[in-house]
Amino acid sequence: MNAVNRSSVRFRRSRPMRRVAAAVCAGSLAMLALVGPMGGADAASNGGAVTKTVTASRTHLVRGSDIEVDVRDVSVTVSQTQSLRDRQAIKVTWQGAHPTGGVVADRNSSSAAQQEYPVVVLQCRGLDSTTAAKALNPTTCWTSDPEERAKSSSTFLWPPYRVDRYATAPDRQQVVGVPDPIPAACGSAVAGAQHWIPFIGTDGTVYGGGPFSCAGIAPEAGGGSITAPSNTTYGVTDLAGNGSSNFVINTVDSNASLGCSETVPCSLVVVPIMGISCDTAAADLPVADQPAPKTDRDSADLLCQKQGYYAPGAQAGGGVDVEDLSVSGQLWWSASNWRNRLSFPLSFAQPANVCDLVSNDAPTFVYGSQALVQATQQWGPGFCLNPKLFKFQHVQFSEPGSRNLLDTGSIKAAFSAGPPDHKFTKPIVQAPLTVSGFAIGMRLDNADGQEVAKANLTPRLLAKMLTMSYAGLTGVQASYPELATNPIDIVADPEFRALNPNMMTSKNAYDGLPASTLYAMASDSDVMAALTSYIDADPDARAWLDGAADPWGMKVNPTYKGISLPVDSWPQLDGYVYAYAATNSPCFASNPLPWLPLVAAPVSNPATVTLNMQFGLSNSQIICKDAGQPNQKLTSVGRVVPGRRALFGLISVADAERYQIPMASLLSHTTAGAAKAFTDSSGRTFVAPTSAGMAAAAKLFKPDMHLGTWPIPYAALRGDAGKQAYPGTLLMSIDVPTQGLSSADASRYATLVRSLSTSGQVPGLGNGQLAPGYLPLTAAHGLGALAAYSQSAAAAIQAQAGFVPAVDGSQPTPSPVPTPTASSTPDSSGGAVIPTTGPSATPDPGTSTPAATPTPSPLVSITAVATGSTADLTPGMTAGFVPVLAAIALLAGLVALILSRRRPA
Amino acid sequence: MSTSYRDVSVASTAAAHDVASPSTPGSRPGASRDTRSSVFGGVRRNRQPLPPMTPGRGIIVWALTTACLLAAWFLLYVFALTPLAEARSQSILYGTFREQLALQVAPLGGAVKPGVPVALINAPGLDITDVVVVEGTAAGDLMAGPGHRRDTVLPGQRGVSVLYGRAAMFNGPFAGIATAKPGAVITVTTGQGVFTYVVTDVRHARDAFPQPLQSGEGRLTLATAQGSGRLGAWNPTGVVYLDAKLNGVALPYPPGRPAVVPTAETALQGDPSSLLPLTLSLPLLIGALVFMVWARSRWGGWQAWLVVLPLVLAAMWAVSQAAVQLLPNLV
Repeated sequence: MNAVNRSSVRFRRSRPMRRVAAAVCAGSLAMLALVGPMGGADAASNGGAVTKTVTASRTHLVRGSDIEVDVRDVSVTVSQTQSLRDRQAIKVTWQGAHPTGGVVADRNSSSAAQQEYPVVVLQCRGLDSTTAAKALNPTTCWTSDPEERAKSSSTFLWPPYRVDRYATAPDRQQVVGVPDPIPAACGSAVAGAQHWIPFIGTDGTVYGGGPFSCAGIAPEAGGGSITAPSNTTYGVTDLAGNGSSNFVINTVDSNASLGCSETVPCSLVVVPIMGISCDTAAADLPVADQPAPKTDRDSADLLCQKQGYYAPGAQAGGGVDVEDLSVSGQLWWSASNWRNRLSFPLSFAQPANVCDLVSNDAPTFVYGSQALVQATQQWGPGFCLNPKLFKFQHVQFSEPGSRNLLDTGSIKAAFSAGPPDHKFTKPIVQAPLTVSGFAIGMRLDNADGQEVAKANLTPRLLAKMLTMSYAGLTGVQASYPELATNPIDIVADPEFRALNPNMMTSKNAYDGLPASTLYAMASDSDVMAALTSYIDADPDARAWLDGAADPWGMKVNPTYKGISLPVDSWPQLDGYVYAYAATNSPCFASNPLPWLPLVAAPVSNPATVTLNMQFGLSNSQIICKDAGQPNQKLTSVGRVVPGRRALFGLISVADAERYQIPMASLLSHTTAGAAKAFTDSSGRTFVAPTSAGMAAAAKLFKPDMHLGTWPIPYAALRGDAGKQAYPGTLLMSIDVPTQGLSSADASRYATLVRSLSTSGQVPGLGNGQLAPGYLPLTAAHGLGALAAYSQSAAAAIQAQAGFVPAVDGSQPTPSPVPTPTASSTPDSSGGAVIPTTGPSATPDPGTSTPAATPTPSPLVSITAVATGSTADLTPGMTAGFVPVLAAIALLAGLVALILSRRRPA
Repeated sequence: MSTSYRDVSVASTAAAHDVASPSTPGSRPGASRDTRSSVFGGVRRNRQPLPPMTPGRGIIVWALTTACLLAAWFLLYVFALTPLAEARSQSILYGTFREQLALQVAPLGGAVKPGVPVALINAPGLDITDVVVVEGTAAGDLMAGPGHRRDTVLPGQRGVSVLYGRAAMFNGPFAGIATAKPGAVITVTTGQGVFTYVVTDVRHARDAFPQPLQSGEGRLTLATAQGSGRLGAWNPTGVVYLDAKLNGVALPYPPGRPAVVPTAETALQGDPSSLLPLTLSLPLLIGALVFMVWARSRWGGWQAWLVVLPLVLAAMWAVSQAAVQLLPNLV
């Protein structure tokens, strides 16, 4: 009897086991099919850096013979021409160009066009091809200001552009490009010689431009007050003929009139200005277009053959319109300059909304870290464009907030940039995805007005900016006694000057207000937690925060004295009201707000800090807009003039890489004997946020069994081992519960984790690849253990058995994907796929209770006690009243009908 | 008499009246009868009239027709009118509960009068939006919305709180719980605050109970009727339970809670005490019908209907409302 019982039990158990085995087999094959195709390396992985060379010359035609006045071999390199995304910056460098004179600090302004011999960089729709439909010409090149494409000369009718020997006959008439009829708004502005280059929008709309935009400009164009500057760049060449510039790419998302996208080809056009090649005789032209001999022709020759008012390298400032027009950047469109152009075809990545276009499926959401945006921008299309995968969407949200939502079960997955404050209350696995970091982005100019690409910052300097210990303005310094003896801003701080030589002085008239604060986010953020942990770990910074003066006598703002760190969001504690502002600014008069928090002006969205740092915008909310009006309000300072900038912002390394924002190096190590009051950086090691720096930091990661992840070891980073480690390093992870997800969700999130931690780790710029600024989880970087953990995490997510693999690998973890034996397609219905190899690798609720099977002792233990079972209640006779009533109604009605119709017998 | 029962199938109430008060054919011109039948939607048929029916058969037809009509009315009531009744009750309860929350006089537990609002639940995953929970789980209580079982703690308090709700009639507020997914969030607002529960499992008969609670934990169990098939809830075969775990620490509860509840307040039970209102409301209906017969012979057809129809409807509503309480409370 007993034997029979046992065998029957065994029989009953064996069938589910067989089914599980089949599911495991099919599941693993499905996974392989899913993982394999995502984001193979393509040509875009190096970004398509291109170098081109042109021999540019300026050759006058004088009495029928060529007189070559200047010839140069200009070679231009563009750092990236493929997989371009909106607003990203690419680097354009050149050699062999004519040195620039009359240099203007802001190379994106229309006044920069007045430089002599600049290298003009433009984004133009079309390609340099023979096909007319797509060919580019000056009318498809973007400039923001119509003055950059319209010239007029009201009194002298033979300006240089009219005697351009390479211009066609129609282009050498007195009036070129002026709409007919002349728009009424232009009025009397149109007199004398005119040469307008209209802008033709992607839809064919012609924007005439003209003086004061009188003939209409594209909606994206506009003078002056726009926050982000135009991308048209008038680059400066140094005396050796070299120069470089960042160029911000605009796709259709930010410039619809230009309309560049992956279907509308565009080019980067580099025009080295050589000057107009003059032909004042104009022998081939009608008489009307020939300057009269002697008087007009001599004057025209004189104007056209000028070679520059400024000495090469000289700064602008000689007065209004003193530059020589014939060699200035204003004539970039003239045939003489245009023929020397180099054009680089650009190709664009799929726009951000491509996933919405390819499918209407509900996306799989992952909430969390903005520091991972650059990665998910490339991973997202890699997923949704793959028919075997699905659409996943990164919902940018504060990391601590996302973890809270995850712990309460409101969301199903979160991207984190740091460890949780305390252990999750539910079984949630934190699968590492990549290593990145926070960066102190900066826009900093040196004493020569040139932007610096490298600066050194200590935690104490960061603490000084965050704690509002710099007054920023002399008026504030004079009226705020606690800050009176402190340096007025970071540029004036001897600590900063000791570490960063050749900084601006008050002679540069730099903007001190933005230089007194660190622009950061207001929302809870792992980035802020990491920054404040770094500050907290530095003994000098900590002592200073606790009230000790620095070696130069600077003290902390008393409202922040002794502040407890780290914090998720920086508190705005200072309550000082600036009396001068209250009496002079109607906004402050009506609402006397504390001054220094408005200077710091933290923003809710970290992307805003990135934008501000990209374009050198100060977000300090102290400008009173519509002063005295009922709708008066405080707005930001806006763009700080290049050449006078000292702005610092807390951003992510990947954002800085994408938008080419210079990043500060951070203090990683101080030798024991380093001077307290120092005059240079000797004895101190500063590490830039490079892959090497982040990899060095990652080597020091130690698993934390309690938190279930690898917290950044700030103490170890300060030690000798962390000398070359970047202290702003962050471990990016995806947190997913291993209990309570439906099998379809579990399958998707497991696939997501598995794909991102394998094929998503190929560095590159293509879809599905890992963007620059992120360190792939590879054994080469010493991160093999983290990558392996992500694999076991994916298995745990798929199993949904409440099991969280141990981070130190000490306990047996469920082994990852088994080797496939045959190919199969993924189960689209998302059926239960249980990725286990051995029979008891994971507690499997389907076949046995967790307590009954020997399980590996997991991080989150499952202790089950025997409980009763739910009673089998059956409803009484009355429960089925509906069908009964329906039957009665039908039957009675029918019978009544029949009876009433029948003839009686 | 030759055409007396002509329109019996299309205007059977009129036919019933003819049977109830047989009268001489000569007293009613055919034209007036035709007008009457067309008033009640009858289709005039130009056919040879049927021969007269024997009184016995007439009575049978009358009885069957009445049965058919009553059954049809009751189906109309449960399918179409109970959702209206529930919606109105909810609207009133929502206002009342909102006021009580604002004044901080919402019941916190102990002995609460059945029928008063005690909680507000929201569960997007379960298709529950701003539904007010009343105290008590008898069939009558559940006509206004989900009910809180009186021998359990209120939501948010330490221990297991049980809510019953109908699956089909009266808008079926808990119709969605059988298909709920673990991880769905249930938000409950009571006088003690807002509590978030996360669904842990959906239980059927013979499934194991969830693990016992640790101190300071709270659980919410929702229960409703379940059958098989699309309209299974209308013909239930059992009870489905949904367990949800409280996020955070549960609060203490005041004393005075009843230790047991009457059988009528347990799952799938009807309420026999509604027999009293049923027996009181049935004579009302009969009286209204008798009055109808009298009025019709006295005042004429449409005048009688105009006066008596509201009375008949009201009486039928009262009868239905009492009768429906005899049915299982979770349907």
